[in-house]
Amino acid sequence: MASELLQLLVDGLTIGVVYVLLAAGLSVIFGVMNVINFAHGELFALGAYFALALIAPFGGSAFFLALFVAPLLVGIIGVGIERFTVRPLYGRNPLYHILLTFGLVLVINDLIYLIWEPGSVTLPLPELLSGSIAALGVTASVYNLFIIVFGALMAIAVWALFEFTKYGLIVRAGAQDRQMVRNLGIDIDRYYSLVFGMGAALAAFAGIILGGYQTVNPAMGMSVIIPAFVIVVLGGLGSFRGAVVGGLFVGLVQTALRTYAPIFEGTGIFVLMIGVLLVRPHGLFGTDAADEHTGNLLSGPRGGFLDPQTRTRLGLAMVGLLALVPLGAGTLYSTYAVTLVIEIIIWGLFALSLDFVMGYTGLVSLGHALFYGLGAYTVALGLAHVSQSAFVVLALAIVLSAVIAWGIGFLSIRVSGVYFAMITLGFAELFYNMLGQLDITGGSDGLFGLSTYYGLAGVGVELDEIAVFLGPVAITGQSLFYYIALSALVASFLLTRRMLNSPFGAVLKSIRENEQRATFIGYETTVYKRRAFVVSGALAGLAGGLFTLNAGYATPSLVDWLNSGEVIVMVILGGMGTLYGPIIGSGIFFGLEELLTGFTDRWRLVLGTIFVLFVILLPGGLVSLPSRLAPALPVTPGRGPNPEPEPESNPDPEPATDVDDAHTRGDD
Amino acid sequence: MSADPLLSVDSIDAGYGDTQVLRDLSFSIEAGEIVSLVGRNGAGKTTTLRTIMGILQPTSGHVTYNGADISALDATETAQQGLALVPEERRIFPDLTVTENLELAAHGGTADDSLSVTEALEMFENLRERAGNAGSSLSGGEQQMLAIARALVSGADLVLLDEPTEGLAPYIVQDVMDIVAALNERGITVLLVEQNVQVCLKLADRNYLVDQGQIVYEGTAAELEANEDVLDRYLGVTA
Repeated sequence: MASELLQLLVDGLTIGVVYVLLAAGLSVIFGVMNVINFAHGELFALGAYFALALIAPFGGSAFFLALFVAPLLVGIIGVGIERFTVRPLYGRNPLYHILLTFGLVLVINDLIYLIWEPGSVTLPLPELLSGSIAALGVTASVYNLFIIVFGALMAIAVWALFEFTKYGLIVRAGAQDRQMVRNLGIDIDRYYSLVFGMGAALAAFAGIILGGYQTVNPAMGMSVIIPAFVIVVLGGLGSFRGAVVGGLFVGLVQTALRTYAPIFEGTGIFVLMIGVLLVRPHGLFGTDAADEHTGNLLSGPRGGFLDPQTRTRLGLAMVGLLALVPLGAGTLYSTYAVTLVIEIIIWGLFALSLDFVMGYTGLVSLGHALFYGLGAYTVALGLAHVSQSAFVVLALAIVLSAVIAWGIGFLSIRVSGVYFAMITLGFAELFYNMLGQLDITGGSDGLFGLSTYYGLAGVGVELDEIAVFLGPVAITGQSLFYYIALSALVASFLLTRRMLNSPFGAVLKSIRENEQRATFIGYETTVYKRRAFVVSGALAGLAGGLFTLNAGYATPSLVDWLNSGEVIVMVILGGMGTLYGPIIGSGIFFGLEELLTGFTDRWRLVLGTIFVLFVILLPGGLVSLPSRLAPALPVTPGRGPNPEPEPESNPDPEPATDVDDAHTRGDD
Repeated sequence: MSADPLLSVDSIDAGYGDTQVLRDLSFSIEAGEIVSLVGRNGAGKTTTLRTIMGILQPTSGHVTYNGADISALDATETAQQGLALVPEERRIFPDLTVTENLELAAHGGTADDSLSVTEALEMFENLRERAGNAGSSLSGGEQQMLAIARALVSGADLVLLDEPTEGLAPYIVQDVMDIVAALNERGITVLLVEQNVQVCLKLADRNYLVDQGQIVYEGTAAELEANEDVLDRYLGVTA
């Protein structure tokens, strides 16, 4: 028993040390620069691949060389990333960092596929580190012990750097109050590149040592980024100590679960994170002080830049145009166009639902795919067990999503900012794992072969059996579904807009602007936020339900966190806090994807590059394009993240008057 | 008074977005003086300090320090010229110790540090006792002392003090006033923003009265004290 525990300790610490190195950089980058770096996992993978390339010509003995050269190279890349992509965004809404680093994930990951072979590769190890040592009934490979010792030394070195050097002192102070550091005459912006570079180098170290322990593969970055975020949040954002404790702890817990309760291996850390956040809303070692500038993800102007009349006219025109799409299918263009636009409409609805909480109450949900998947599975299970009426199962999806959203909102809304994003992600990951393990949801295969009709109480039709004739064109099957989806989108848009124009909407907006003041006026803000979350969850459930009605299946991959990430991307892409912007964002996202997959296999590389350029060049989202095109707008250059917020500064009060560029318009 | 003041503010306009706060505001400080800006809440006193410091850029007008135009400099560059702002909220780094707060200041500011960290800890007795404590554990008065000490250690020749006595107990107000007088004796020029007229009258060589973003009165302590009309009209106090 004792030897078993010791074995567990060795294995757990091995993984734990990798997590510590990974999470430390992520946490410090967040604490100092307020950047949520999704690309951290790709820098981790890049470290392993660079090491692979460095070792290949010389054999295993070059491992030690690679262990220092590869992180150095990745560190330099990190400095470049900060200098040329992150820096122009300082002082803008931190959410743009999500879009930026999401784009970087696509770029770096696709580059890895482009340069190296797609499969798993073993990292050659030197003679010195092979073999194993047996003592006290425990067998540990020399490499395991090397990881633990080397990782511990690295962590201590980083800690000492922070604690005892001028560099560390300035970085720590910057994490607490940037403007005051500037007031003291210290050019903190210069230090950001170094912090980012160091974080990248640490990630690369972690990538190399894990690569040597397991394998090197292109998906390795994707598989560690979520656990790394969990650790950062668990330990407290920006806290180095938190990253160390959290990393080791998660490593041990994961290893223990794999041994004793493999069914919980995927979910254990999320339960842990949610539990910790409910008791300590700032993580184990996070402080309120750090929360002052990290708590709120949303700042700076947002909202539409079109005057209401133009918006209504363009919106009507857009809906009219969309209504015409099925008429030309099969004659003017292939019927695939209808399939594509249905996807855009459903995701547009999904994105709109997110915008309702994110753009109007400031709650950034990183687990919205949960509701999308919930709606999809409710429809699938409803069709199988309750009723084959599409309307009944859609209603079920909406109601169930609303109920679950209330429950999750009840637990989550007590934490804010990034912590809220992570707790919602935690719930989504729990749901994802649950779907893959339960029999009723069809396990990892999901549910297939569903039949449905449109009507109530057994009276109704299947879409394929009816046809509506409009002149020479017969509309049937998917084209009819198209109109159902479009109506759902338009109805949801009108409903949410109506809510926002009501007193309820005014309270939501006041919460977004300044929650404390809204509280002082006497509103119980958590109640309002929860209501908004319920509406949002219900609409996301509707979107998911529509997906399953159309596609005829539901799989756990619908709840993948990448879907939650992509829907955030769509909202930001189109323009947050507008309701119609996210729909345009969905159109752009799928349109680009469609266009790019058509002529290159490396479409993710191009798409990622477009995101990166987009964020840097067009900070207000696509809906800001008209006013950007209007001449002579004062543009203030970014000077480090989060310069002191100036009261009521709105650099962009001019409504656009030119209506020439009709291709950027959306529904209204 | 010589013809070349240490700091001169010439008809600056400044504000936030569309809101203009300062309107054609001008005044100057000679080297070695203690000058106060008094006025009610919202008169533009803090905005003036922020504009001098470069946290806010003036939309027109100039700020000249030591003969050089510093209007376009940002806060970092301004501090490197030898100006230090002690903000109203004090803004001590909560997770750094007292010593670390001072060391950080020593890394910034001007190259010649008039006061080392060790000397500062000797000068501020109550800080010396708490040298290893975190900034967040200090009392209001101690935080104010540390904020002033930080400005000294950064090697500033002109210290901008924003309401240093706000929210402090009367006997601590006296301590703060003693410290301000002591640093003036070291040759440091002080621009003091206060709502507490009594503090200004005791400390300042000259006083400027700010109202609605403009200077409406200038006078020595004795002159201001004697001018009951001004005191009553702009400050609502009777001396």
